[in-house]
Amino acid sequence: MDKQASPAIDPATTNQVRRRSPIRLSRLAMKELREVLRDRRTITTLLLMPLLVYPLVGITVQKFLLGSLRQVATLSLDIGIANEADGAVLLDLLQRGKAVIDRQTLTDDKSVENRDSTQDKIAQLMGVGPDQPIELRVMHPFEKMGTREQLEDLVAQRYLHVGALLNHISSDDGHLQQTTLELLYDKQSSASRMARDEVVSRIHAINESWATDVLQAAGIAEGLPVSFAEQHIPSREQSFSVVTIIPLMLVLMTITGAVYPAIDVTAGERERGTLEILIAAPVSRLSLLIGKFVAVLTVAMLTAAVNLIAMLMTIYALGVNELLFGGSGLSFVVIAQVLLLLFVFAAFFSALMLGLTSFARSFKEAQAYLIPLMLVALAPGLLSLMPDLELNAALAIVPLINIVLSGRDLLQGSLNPSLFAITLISTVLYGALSMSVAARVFGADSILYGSSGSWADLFRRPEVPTNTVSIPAALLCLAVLFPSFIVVGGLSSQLEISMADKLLANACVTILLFVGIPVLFCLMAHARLKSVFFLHSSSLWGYVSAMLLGCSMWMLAYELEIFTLSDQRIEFLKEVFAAMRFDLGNISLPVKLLALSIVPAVCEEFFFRGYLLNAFLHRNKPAIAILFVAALFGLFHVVVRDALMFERFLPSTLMGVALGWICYRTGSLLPGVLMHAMHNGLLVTLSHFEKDLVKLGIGLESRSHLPLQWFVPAIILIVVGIALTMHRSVGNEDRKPTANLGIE
Amino acid sequence: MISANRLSKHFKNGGQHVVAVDELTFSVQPGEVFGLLGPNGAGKTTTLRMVLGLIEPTSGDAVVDGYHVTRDSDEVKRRIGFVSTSVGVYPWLTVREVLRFVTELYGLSQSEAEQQIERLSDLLGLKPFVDRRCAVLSTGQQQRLNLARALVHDPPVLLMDEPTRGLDILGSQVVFNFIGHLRTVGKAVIVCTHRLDEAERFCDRFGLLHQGTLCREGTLTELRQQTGRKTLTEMFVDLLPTEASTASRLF
Repeated sequence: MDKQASPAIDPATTNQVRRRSPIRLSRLAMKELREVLRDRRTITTLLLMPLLVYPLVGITVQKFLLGSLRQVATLSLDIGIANEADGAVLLDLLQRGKAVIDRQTLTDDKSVENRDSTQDKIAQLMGVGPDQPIELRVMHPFEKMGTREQLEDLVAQRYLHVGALLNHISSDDGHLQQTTLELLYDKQSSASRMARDEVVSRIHAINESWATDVLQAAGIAEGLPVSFAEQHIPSREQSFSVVTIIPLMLVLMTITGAVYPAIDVTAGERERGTLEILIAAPVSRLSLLIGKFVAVLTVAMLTAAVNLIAMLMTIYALGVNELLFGGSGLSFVVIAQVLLLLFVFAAFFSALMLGLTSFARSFKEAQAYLIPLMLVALAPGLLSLMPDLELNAALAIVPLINIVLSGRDLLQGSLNPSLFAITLISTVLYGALSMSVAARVFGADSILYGSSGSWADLFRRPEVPTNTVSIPAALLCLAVLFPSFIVVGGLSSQLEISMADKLLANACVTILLFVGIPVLFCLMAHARLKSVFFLHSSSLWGYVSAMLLGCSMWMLAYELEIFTLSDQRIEFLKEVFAAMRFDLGNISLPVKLLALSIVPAVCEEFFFRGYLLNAFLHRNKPAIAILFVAALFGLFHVVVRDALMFERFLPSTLMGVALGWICYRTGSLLPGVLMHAMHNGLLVTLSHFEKDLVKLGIGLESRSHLPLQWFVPAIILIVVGIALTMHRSVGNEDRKPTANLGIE
Repeated sequence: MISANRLSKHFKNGGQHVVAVDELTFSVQPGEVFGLLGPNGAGKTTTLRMVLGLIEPTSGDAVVDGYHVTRDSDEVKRRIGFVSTSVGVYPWLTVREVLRFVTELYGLSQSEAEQQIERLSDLLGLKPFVDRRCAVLSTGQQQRLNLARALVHDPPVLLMDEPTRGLDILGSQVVFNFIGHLRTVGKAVIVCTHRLDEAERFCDRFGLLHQGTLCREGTLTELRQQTGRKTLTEMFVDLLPTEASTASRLF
């Protein structure tokens, strides 16, 4: 242990190199996994439960459910009459009626006989099998004559299914003319209703056959005016029943698998006192949590996989696979889809649980937090059982419900891709938010050392104003803004107002969302608005280079978009725009410039380059922060109402990088606003004069290439702009965003 | 190597303002063992946690090997080994796995890690149980693992919080030897304890802490000259006249 003997480890150099590397993260995750998987409690929920539960459930189903079905193969129903004479008449009527019906359905029966009997029984259970044969027993429950009241009593007490009162009308010569039949039955009892229906159908059959005979005998007609035949068509979506249940099972599986590890790796560490080892190490809490997240997710997926296998094995062993999955069985595509869905769900849920359990100081406390979550999670699972509930834009942003409904639609093959994208984006956002909250809370001293204060301190408004936004706060803001944008944006398009008013309404919404929400967040976090949004003036050169880039970058972005487009996609886009009635030609240019260029430029810069960039610059390298915010900016432009325009991602991200870089270099939001406004304004102006430009061979809306000679000045302007930003604005060293981030 | 500069920590506890540590200033050189002494609740543990960056100081700063804990907390953490009786063990991992995991946390390469684990196993006698799960270790063995864990990334600074609590004579002896070893290899060590008799045996310099304030600081000889008392216990009783009876019961 001598210093000379040991090859000195220089902590500063060795460690920095391997910070946050994926290998290291995976090793952190390996430790968590090793720990969790060695625990007997995990093994119980992971392996034993599914391996025992499903066969047991299967055997129970087979023994009792199928057994009881066999016993009621022929249903006997009791018809009570008041006296024996009536009984003889009724019995005769019922037998004649059955004979008529049997003659009519003789052909159908043959096809049914060949079918597998087990399957029929399950089909019967689900109400899709052939009709059950019904035997009607006529009984006389009285010693002598019964009264109407007595019969009513017996039906009410359910000794009889139907009570029948017969009344015979004879003609003057004593010849029986008509028998009237009065049926007493209990509408609320299904057996009683079935008995009544059966009696009625047999009597109808007799009447019809008699009427036909009479008409034919009299030579009036060959038969009744309308005759009909009926046939039961089983639903084509045979897997419907199992599909609606799968999302519910996903919820249950994921919960059972992930709950214990989630508690163990957070509150468990705290309770054992090992949390201090982690917090005392030079590893960011987020890295630690990502390791834990991967472990929890892995266990959740393992549990789900074991459950799925055990369930499938039980289903195949019972031989009900064809019934549940339709004739073709379960395809690999469906299994892959189920697994994908499981993954999304498990990831979201793991993040959510880690977020909650990070607050807990003990195992018990963590359990207390998770139980309400599980109950809440069951509700959307049950919702998916309602086939009428459709996934729409509003539901696509509601956590859990969106995944469960997407899951159902995915398995039914009726999933709308853009709604699915909204679901995925919002789920990722919520998951990231949960993780970042967890990273803030996990190992914070108020959790680590309970005596130092309550965890409410973490969310208390700081007394000293700050210059920066925390990443959790930024993600929370994003998680609030994205759904609001989808919902409110959808609302304004439904207003019955003129196009110009719609544009202005949209502009107001944009200001409210993109300026209002971040400002509100800043006020709550006691952050200085001027610092967070980089509201400093830039040097003159900053504005000049922003102008140069603002009037040249659009060509690059535009060509980049066309580059990624196929001809078919261009045609499709034209249709989409036509459908959206983007009829902007009649609106005056100033209104368009205000609504489509100035307002979006100010608002988007405020949120993306101000609020978000500030948060991410705080903890990351500038290049990474700029790129990340630019990617979010690009993604934000992909979702356009109900359509997804992936071709907008690259150009918008490119613009985002340029804008972020300008903001970073100049330390001010204003040049970016100028550049953004010029960029949008130029595009709006060009499309305003589209008709004149088409004459010159330039068509922006038809997405044709720009004249080649335009690129020469564009590239010169871009190069000059970049060069100016690189050199002239470096003088603003103090005002660079990073400089503002120091501790004050 | 370590210097604390007017380090303070205030808590709000149910509306009450509690000063846990009040403007603490001291420094520790390489190869020196500094005893931070005081009764329970004097602020020893809070001070250590602030130096390590586990708790943010209300005001003041600590500098470790030239890095400020409030600014470069990761750099500071990388240079500190932390031993505390409040730190537990991972019941399902073996001793070797725990040590490997800690080397991962501190970013050591695999070969460095194996070398360090081998050396520390020899030094602290972990060999017989290095592949056993921590759950089955005795308290003494767990403490030896904790000592190895604190040293596995070869930090220049060690912070030890009540390192002998709950240990028998043999276990305590291991800790004393360990501290002696740290001194010979030139580590800067802070030991917090309320066992003044033990502290006299292994510390080079002492800081007497009471209610968050550093009342006296110096070597045993210096302190004896200042106070005219022979043992640390007597000095403490003198220092805290109002609470003398409580203090004497404590020690």
